[in-house]
Amino acid sequence: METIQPKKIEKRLIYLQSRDGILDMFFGGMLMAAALNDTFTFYEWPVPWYIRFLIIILMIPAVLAKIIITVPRMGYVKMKPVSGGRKQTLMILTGTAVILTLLIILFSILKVPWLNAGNYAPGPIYEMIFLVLVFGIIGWLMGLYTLIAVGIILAFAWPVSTMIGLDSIGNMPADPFTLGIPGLIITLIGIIELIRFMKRYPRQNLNANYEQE
Amino acid sequence: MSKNENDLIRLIIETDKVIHEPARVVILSLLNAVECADFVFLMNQTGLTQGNLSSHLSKLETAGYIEIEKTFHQKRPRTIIRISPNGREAFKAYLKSMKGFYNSIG
Repeated sequence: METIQPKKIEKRLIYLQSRDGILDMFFGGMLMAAALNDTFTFYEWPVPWYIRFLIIILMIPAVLAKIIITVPRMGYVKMKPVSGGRKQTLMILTGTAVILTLLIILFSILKVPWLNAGNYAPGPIYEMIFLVLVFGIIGWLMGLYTLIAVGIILAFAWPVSTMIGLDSIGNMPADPFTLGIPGLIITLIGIIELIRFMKRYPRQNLNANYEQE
Repeated sequence: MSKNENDLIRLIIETDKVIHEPARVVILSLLNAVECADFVFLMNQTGLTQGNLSSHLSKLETAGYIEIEKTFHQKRPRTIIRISPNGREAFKAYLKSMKGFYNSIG
């Protein structure tokens, strides 16, 4: 017998809320912004100031769209505060990431031969594992599956670009392909999801209200 | 009649009749998973009509299982619904008794 599990329902409700495509468009936009930023840097063009603030610039329409489109159509719901167990997992994850980063910086400064990352920046393998872990676990815990895809795309952007030879050509940046194209695809998926969401939750529900008997 | 059969009958008879209705089980399952939700959200998620949902909510409110708060948001009336501590306990007990029932019949 399939039992009623509050945790599963909670996760499903968070997932349903994210199916308005707005978060997908936000994540897609972020990936495209990262690709754009690296393209400007690669060609040594002056990076427009707004690219560096694109995360905030993109966040404003995303939040507004949630308020104007999602909440009135789908209805208002306040989720329970993050539970003890989940909070603990997130804290352990963040703590481990911080300790690992500090250790790598320390090893780089001390020039520990077998652990030296070469510079202050963490090495690519560590970065890959870190990105997949952080985005993957947060995405899984919150039921935001696009976040898992974003983590994998970010983690594999560099090795894929090296593998297909884009990084070694040297005459063009790899990021428009490895970050920009997935970003564009995620944005397009977001737009399709938003259209479907608007069809699923029509405006006719806007005035529905409780009638006391 | 064996002791197990007696327990089974007692379990069925003692089931909370206010909760034991498909629509109300769905409503309480949703409310149990969130802090609060408004009427439109519940209507969308349950697929019930405005009148039907109102009727079930009234029954749950009368039993003291939910709390209904009428507010205004952007000049529109908004009804916020949350499960009460009593409702949470009753729903937990209901789930436990249903699990026991299904386990006993295999």
